[in-house]
Amino acid sequence: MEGVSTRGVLSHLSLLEDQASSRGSRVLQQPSRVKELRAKVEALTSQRDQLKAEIQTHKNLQKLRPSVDKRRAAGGEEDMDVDSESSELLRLMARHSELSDLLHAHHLIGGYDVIKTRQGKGMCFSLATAYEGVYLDTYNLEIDLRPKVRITRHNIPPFIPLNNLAEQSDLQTGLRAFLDTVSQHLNAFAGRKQQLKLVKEQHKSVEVMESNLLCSILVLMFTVPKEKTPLLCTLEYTDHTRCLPTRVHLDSEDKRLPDAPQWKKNCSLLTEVPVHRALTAIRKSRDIV
Amino acid sequence: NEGRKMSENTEEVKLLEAQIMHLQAEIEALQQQQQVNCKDITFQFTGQMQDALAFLCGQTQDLEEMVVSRLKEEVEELEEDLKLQTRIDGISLNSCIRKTLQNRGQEVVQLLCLSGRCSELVFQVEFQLSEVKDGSRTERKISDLNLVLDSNDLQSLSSFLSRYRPAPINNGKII
Repeated sequence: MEGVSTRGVLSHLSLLEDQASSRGSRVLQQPSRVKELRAKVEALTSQRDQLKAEIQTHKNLQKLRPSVDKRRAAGGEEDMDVDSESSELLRLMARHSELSDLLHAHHLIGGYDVIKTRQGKGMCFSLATAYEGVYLDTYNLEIDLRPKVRITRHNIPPFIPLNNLAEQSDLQTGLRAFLDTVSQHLNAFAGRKQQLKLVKEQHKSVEVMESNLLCSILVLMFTVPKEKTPLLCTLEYTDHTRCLPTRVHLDSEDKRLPDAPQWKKNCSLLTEVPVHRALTAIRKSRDIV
Repeated sequence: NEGRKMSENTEEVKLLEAQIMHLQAEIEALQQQQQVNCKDITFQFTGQMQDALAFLCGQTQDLEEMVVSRLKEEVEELEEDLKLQTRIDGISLNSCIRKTLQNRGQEVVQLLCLSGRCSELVFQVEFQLSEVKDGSRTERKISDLNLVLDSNDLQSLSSFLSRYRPAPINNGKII
C-alpha cells in the first residue's frame, strides 16, 4: 500500500508543480503586459502634451495679435500680457504674422504685387485682372532697374501693345503710371473676354459668329421672332481701355429692321450696358428669341 | 504572496488601461481643437514660422538663439518687402485683421478688416473674401464691403461700392 500512496503523493506533487508553473507563467506574463501598457501610456502622454503645447502657442500668438472678435467685443486696448518663457520668439512670430497679413492685404486691394529679383537689380510685378467682383487671370512683368529701367520678361499677350505703352509713359520716372496703363488695358481685355464667355453661357439662342483674340470685335447673330429673321449685330470696341463697345452696327435682309425704333433703343443699350446683360433685357422684351 | 502579486498586477493593468482610455479621449478632444485652429489661415505656418512653432512645442533640437535669429532675418525681409510694396502701391496700410469664417477644402471664406492711409485720406475697409479653387485657377469674390472714410465726398465712390454691397448707399459716412 505504500507504493500506491507514494504514487498518489507523487502524482499529487507533480500536479501541484504543474499548477505552480502555470501560475508562474501567468505571473511572468503580467510584467510584460504591464511594460507594454506603461510604454503606451508614455507615448500617449507625450502626444497629448505635444498637442497641448501647440494649442497653447496658438493661444499665446492670438493674444499678441488683434483679432476681429476681440476688436468687436472689447473695442479697447488689447491684452498683450503673455506669460511665457520665449516671449521674444513669440513677439517675432506675431510681427511675422502681422507683416504677412499686411502684404496679403496689399495683394488683395488691387496693388501690384512686387518681388525683387536678381539681387535687387530687378523687380517682378503681378498684375491681377477682375470683372464684376470676380478675379480672373494674373499677368507678370519683370523689369530691370539698372542700368536703366526696361522690361525684360513678361507673359502679357502680344495683342496688348506693351512696347508702345512703354514708349508712351516714361519708364524711368513714371513706372507706376506705366503699370496703371497696362493694368487698365489688361482689365478691359479681361472684362470683354469674360462678357463673351457669359454670352455663350447665358444666351444659347444667340450665335457668336466672330470674335478676335483681343475681344475688340464681336459679331453676333440674333433671331428675330415671328419670321425668325436673322439679324447680324457687330460690336466694335475701339477703345481698348474700356469694356463697352464704341459702336454697334446691325445688318439684316429686312432693311427696315435696323431702323425700327425698338432696335435703335437696343443698339443704344448695347453701348451702355455689358453685352451679356443687354442681351438679357433684349430677350426679355422679346425682340430676339 | 503569489496571489497578492497577481492581484496587484491585475490592478495595475486595469489602472493603466483606464489611463490609456482617458488619454485617448483627451487626445481626440485636443485634435479636434487643433483642427479648428489649423483651418484658420493665420495659423498655417511655413518656413521659419513652422520651425519656431516646433521649437516652442519642444519638437526640435535647435537652440533658441538659432531659431530666433533665423526668424528675425525673415521678419526683416518682410519689413523690406512691405516698404517696397507700400511705395509701389502708394497706399500705407497700418493694420490688417483676418478671420477665417469658413474653410471647406475647396472654398475658403475670410473676413478682412484693413485700415490705412492713401495720400491724405485715412480709411478703414472691411469685406468678405471667398476663394474657390477651380483646377489651377482660384476664383475670388468680394462681398459685404464696408468703407469708412474721413470724407464727405462719397458720391464718386458709390458706384464702385454698390457693386460689392447688397444695399443701396446713403449720403454721408458709411459704416
